Amino acid sequence: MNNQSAFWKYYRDFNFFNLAFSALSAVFFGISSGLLIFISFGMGVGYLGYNFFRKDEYYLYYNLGFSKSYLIKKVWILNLLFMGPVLLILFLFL
Amino acid sequence: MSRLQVSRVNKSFGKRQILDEVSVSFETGEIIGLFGRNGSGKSTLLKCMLGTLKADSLEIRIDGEEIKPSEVIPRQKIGFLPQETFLPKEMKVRNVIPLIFPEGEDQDKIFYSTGVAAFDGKIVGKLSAGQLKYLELLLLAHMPHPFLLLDEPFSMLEPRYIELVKELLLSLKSSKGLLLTDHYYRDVLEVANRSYVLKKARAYEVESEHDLVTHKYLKINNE
Repeated sequence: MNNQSAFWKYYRDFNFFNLAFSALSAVFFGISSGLLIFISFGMGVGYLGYNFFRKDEYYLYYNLGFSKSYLIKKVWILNLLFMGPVLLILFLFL
Repeated sequence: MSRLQVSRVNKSFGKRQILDEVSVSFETGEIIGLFGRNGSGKSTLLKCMLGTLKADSLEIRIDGEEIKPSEVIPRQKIGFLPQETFLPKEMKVRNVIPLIFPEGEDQDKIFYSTGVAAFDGKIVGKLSAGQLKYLELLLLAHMPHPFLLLDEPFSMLEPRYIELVKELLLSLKSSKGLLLTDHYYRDVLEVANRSYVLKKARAYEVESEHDLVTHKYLKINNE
């Protein structure tokens, strides 16, 4: 599981669906809500979107040694790490 | 030499038992053919072996060491070629290769393989069925798995690529063990050391087209 470039490809593809949904939510409910959705409910949207449009590509990652649960957990943790502090700052100072 | 033993595979979907105490064993240097009518459980067996489909029961041993199905993927012991392409369709072949093999030396092995130069500038989604399957097999061939499961590698390929794929499979025998399923039974019988047919959830060893007729996989003998 040393192939980080492959993982980042998954990260981008997965979050494409998540980001699209979260950005739309941000338009209607505000930036903070959009970010909160990105690290929570948006993960489910990313999962469903990836499963619908790119399901067969999971076999690429399986062959590279990444299980589906590992990929999803890592995406979620990274989203929390990247967006969690931004969300915290928004809640504290805005 | 490495040995893969898969035993006591049971799998049911609802009340229908698909696999009943199926066992397969092979080693690097061998090609095993697996036949069966549509819905007989060929792909199910392969997915259970890979760990992406939960079997009701299953034992996997590699060189005598028991491996949990959940460890098969992370330990890269078994590679899998699915029926549908696993490559991102929007990417160019020349970008897919470095994505999978970050090291330049590994990339060169793919780029300089027979026939790749003819399509390395194309987008994956624009490749012919033969080019795509050949590329996927080349990529799998250079991954570290000692065992490969190939789900219909000859399906929909033009004769030129069937021959190319067969050559590649035979060359892979030196380093890997292969289990392949396909309805192109003559091509499978030609490259396989041993073959099985799945019938009524059980696996039976077959050696010839005649045996396939006996097990009612083929209706008539076309010899």
